[in-house]
Order: sequence, then C-alpha cells, then structure tokens
Amino acid sequence: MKRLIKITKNIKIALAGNPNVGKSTLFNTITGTRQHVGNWPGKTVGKKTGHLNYKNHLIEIVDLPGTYSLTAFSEEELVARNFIVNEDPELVVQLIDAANIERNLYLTTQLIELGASVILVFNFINYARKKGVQVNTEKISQLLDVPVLQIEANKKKEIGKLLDCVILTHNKKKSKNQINYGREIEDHIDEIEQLIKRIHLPKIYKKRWVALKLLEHDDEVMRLIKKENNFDLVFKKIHKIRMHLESIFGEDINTIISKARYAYIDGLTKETIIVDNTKRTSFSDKIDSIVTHKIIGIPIFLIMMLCMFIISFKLSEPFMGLFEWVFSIIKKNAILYLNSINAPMWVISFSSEAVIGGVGSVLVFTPQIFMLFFVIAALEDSGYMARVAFIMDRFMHKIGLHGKACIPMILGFGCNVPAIMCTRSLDSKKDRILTILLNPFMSCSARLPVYILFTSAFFPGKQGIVIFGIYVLGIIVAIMSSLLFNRTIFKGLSSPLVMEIPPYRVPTLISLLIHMWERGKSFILKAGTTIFAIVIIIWLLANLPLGVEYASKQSFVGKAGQIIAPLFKPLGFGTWQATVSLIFGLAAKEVIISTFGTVYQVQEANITSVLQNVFTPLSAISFMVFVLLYFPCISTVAVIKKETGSWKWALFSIIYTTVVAWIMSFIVYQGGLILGIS
Amino acid sequence: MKKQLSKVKERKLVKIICINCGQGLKRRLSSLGIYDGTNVEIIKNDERGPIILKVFDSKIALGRGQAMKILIEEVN
Repeated sequence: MKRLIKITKNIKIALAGNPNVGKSTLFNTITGTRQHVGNWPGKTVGKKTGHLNYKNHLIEIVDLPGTYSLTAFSEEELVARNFIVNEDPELVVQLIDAANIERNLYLTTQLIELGASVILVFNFINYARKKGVQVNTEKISQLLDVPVLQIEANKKKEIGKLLDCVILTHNKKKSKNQINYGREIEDHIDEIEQLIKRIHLPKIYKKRWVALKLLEHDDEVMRLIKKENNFDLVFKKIHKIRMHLESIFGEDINTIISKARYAYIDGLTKETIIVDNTKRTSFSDKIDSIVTHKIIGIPIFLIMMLCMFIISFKLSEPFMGLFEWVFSIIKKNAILYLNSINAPMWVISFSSEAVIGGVGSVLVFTPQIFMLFFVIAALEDSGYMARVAFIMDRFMHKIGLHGKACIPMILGFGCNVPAIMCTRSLDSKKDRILTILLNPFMSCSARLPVYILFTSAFFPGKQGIVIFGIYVLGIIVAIMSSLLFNRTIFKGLSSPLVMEIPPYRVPTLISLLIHMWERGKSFILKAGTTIFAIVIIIWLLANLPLGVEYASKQSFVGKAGQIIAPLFKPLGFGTWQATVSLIFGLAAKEVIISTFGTVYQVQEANITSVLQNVFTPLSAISFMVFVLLYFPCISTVAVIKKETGSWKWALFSIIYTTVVAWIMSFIVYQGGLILGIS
Repeated sequence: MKKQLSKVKERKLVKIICINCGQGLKRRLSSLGIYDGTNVEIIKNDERGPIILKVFDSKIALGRGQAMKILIEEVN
C-alpha cells in the first residue's frame, strides 16, 4: 500500500547567489529530477523551479539567476529582485563561496535591504580552508542576525541541514536587521523615507529600500514613483540630497553607496574571517599561465575544440547508427503492416516518407547534439570557457563581437542548434542576436557530406583544400556581416568585457547530465514541432497533386523547382532538379544528396556520375557556396525563433542568408566565367 | 602618479583612483569589488587584449577599453 504523505505546509524559497558559487549544483542536489525548466515570463532569462517533500512540508524552490548585485541594469538582476519583491518568498537562501566572502556579501547586503528573510549557506568550505581562509560562521550569524550554515553543495546528505533550517526559520519573525551606512547617509535615507510617506506605494515595497533606491537613482523605482501625483517635488528634493552628499564625499552617489556597503562588509569580515596569506595554493594559476598564455593560449584552445568535436562525434556515432537502424526497422514494419491492412497508397507514403523518414532524418542528429551539449557543459563547469572568452576577446572585439561569442561561433562548426542555444551566456541582447545571426555561416557538420560528394566528383586529389576554402569563406562572410551589422542595425560598441574568471573545478557527472538533458530536451520539444510541420509541408508538396510520383517534375515541388530554377541560372545550376534538392535541403542540408538520388532516379552510389554530367567544376563550386550560405536548416530557424523570442529575427536570418548566398554564388560563377574557368 | 590601469605591469598592486565610465558599467564593476579607493592586483597584462585583475579572492577579466578608463596609483 502506498503511504500517504500528509503535507501540512507549503514553503516557497528562492535560491540566490553570485555566479560560479555552485548554485545549480545545490539546486540539483536538492531537487534531483523534480525540476521544471522554462523562461521567466517575457524574458530570455532561464527559470528553474523544483519541489520536494520534507518532513510534512512541501518546499518549492525557485532558482534565481546568478548575480553579483540587484541593480536594475541587467535583465538577470531585475528578474531576481522583482521575484523577491513581488512574489515575496518566505525565505531567500543565498549560497556563498567561502573562499570569496567579501564579494559575495555585497549581494547579501542588498538582499537584506530588500527586506528578504535570508539564510546564508557557505559552500566550498574545504577549498577555502586549503587557501588559508577560516570563517567564524556563528559570529557572522550573530552580527547579521540571519541563520548561517556550512555545507558542501554536491553532497546529498548535507542537504538535510539546510532543509531543517528552512523549516525552522520560515515561520519565525523576519529579522529587523538593517545595513548601517554611516550617519551621514543614514540621516538622508530617513529624510527620503519621510518624503515618500505621503506617496501611496504598494505594501510589498519596504520604505527604506525605496528610499535607498531613489537615492541611488534606480530607474525601475523612479518609474514607480513617477506614477504618483506629486512626484516632481519629491524628485527635486531627492536630487538636492544627492547633490549634497556628492559634494560632501566628492564622489558620485553610486560610488558613495557601494563604498558604504563595502565598509559595512569590511567591518563584518574583520571580526569573522582569518586569512592566512602564506597558504595560497596556486594550482589554478599554474594552469592559467599556460592556457591564457599570449602565444600558446589560442593554439591550445583550437586543439581543445578539435578534441571536443572528435569526442562528441565519436561518442555519438554508435547512437546515430542505432537511430538509423531503429528508424529503418520501424519504416519497414510500418510499410509491411499498412500493406497488410490494405491501407491506401498515400497513407503508406505519408507514414513512411513524411512521418518516419522526415522526423527520422532530423532525430538522427540528436545524439550528436546531446553529446556536444555534454562536452560544452564539461568545459563550462570546469571554468575553461571563461578563459576562452578572455583569450579570444581581442580578436572578437575587432570584428565587433563579444569575447564570449567565440564559443557559439566555434560550436557552429558542429551544429548551429546547440551553438545558438549557447548564446545565452552573452549578457547583452544585442551581442546575443548578432551572434545568433552570424552563426549559420559557420559550416555545420550536416553540410560536409554535400562538399564531400561534390569535391570527390570534381576535384579528386584536391578535396581537402577545396573544402577548407569553403569553411574559410563561411568565416569571412560571418566577419563581413558582423562589420556590416555593427555599422547598420546594431550601431554602438559591443558590451564591455567584465567577467569573473572562476577557479577551476572538477565538474560532477550528474550536473553535466542534467545540463545536457535540459538543453537537449528543450531542443526536441520546441524545435521538434516546427521541424515536424515543415517536413509535412515538404512531403505534401512532393506528393501533390494526387497520383504524381514522389518529388517528380509533375509534383508541386517539381513545378516550384521549374519556376524558381531560372533564378539559379546565373549561378550555374538552373535545373529544376538542383532547385528541388535545395528546397529539400531546407529540412536538413545533408538531405540534398539523397534528393539528387530521387530526382535523377539513381542509387546513391551513382549520384557522382550523374552530377559529373549536369555540373561543371565551376558550377559545382558555385553550388557548394550556395549550400554553405543559404537558408539555415529548419531546426536552426526554429531555434533562432525560440532564442530571440520572435519570428522577426528568424525571418530576417532566412532572407539575409539566402540573399548573401545568391550574391556570393553569382560572384563565384560569373567571376569564374570571366576568368575563363568552366 | 596617476596612470591608466591598462598600462600597469603584471604582479603590481595598485589603488583605484577614478573610474571614467557610464553608471551601468560603474555599478557592475562595484558589484565585483572594483570601485574608487580599493586596491587590486594586476595578474595578467599582455599589453594587448583584455587584462586580469585580482579583486578580493577572485579573478576578474576586463576589456582593454575598460581598463583604459580606470585611473590608478601604484602602491608598494
């Protein structure tokens, strides 16, 4: 008999903390698989929630974005702070890196200002001890008047300590503790509090916090007050106070308040932390002196990337084979079964070609995508990715991109889908969209079979150099596009590089698997529906009007091919067959090859000889250039739509890439003709 | 003597005198512990590309453009 769990109480807690303090590890250890991943409403910031039953309590945990502060300047910080203000969680658990307490406490001061009930959890205590840092957590708890715990976030058995503390603390009265900013500032905070007393504010806002934010010139809170009648007068008075303080301290208000916070933290840590400076381990530094070296740093990075692709492709190969085999078995049996029940021809064709064949052709790539996600997660969690952004920043900056954009661009050579999903690590929206739009020009692995087929037919012995040239062309087009976009639609400098370089850490297998699964699942679910819809549309076009042979000249797609073909005439491949192949290539570019087989009605092994009859070496190069640059495959389009949050950029990408492809192929083919190459 | 942060040699300890940039970046820097009056150590400066600072117990990478906007004074 199933034991009934009696839930007596629901507790909502938020998990806060700086980036790289082990927050997602803690979240995974607490919730395991009982988590839900989505986006914050209207934002591209990821939201994770989880729940668990513990001692008759249902504990709901919301993982806030990792932030250093709670200003209104970044989307992440605003999301975190709005959640705490508007949703009023019973507790905010802040995870703190015990090896870097001062910086972590900066966020704590702001959580306390916000009026949250805080529990501080110190992680990496052992690591800190090795570095010579001794923390007196009881004393910190006493001084801040909040519970303070020490745990190792990756150890399941330590979680009980935290959960017991959550249950114990949640119905206690909120701590009345305030961060004291020194008399001069405190007096003026009081003054502003008096000023806004007359203004009717929602009850969820703490007066002191609003006063402080007004003093700090916080845009969000200013907007809030602007809705009130006599805001003008209040603003004027606050402005006067600000000017007064700035003249006394000789600094701008933000520096004054930051300094006051750090002065408070300094006082706190002087009494609670002992640092033994002689005990520094410099393992991280030793690795860094090699991987961030000005000469060998970049070659090491390129070798790492090469290894990443080799590892993920090798690991996924058996799975891809398995998928292909499974789909062929399903297809065979489905046809057998449908024949046995005398299903109409179109039903058989629809199920085998569109549903099983079409979906299969995309799903076959999922093992590769998953493996890439796994390896990326390993590089991220280990701390290496931050070093990459550092060493590549100089080059990336020159072409108008952010240092962090380097990883997604390189990943694009494997598959544009995970690459585009990885642009989430970029802070500014402009940098993200720019990186997303350039990504399809990185020649993904699905395009390689097309190059191999064409080069083996036309350039035997020179295959390597031709294929290399195609890849380089993709990079050049991406760089040119970046420079163009930076001067037109994305005017202004790319956002500055200000980034923490975290210490190296050994990633845990479970968190890598969870990372991989989260990203992979969201690809299959979100992109899957779009892909499925387009596969069906293409199938319909290939089979209608009723009675035509699949993808033949008489089918809609064949007719479309004949209509569009003249457009490709100046590019050297104006046949309806080539056009139909390109239309099918929208689904996935490697499909182009099998389509050649279908439209010329030959076995895949004989495609080469057919191609040699209908293409010339020059038109072959022109065709490869077109395949490299045109329309990102539908999976990529679906991901662009998902990651940018609108069809606008997906459409822009489709049109831009195809226009660029046409122009480049035109230049290649016509230029070649002029030079007398055929 | 005042100097740009980008011009400081590796392994030097410096005191930040003034940060000439927009409020947004300024707040971000201060949340990382980089504000007027603090001491930071330069642990990487290749004279091109970004630099790495040691602030409290963490390493912070800073673009060269940003490092040029920060004025410092060397301390011994």
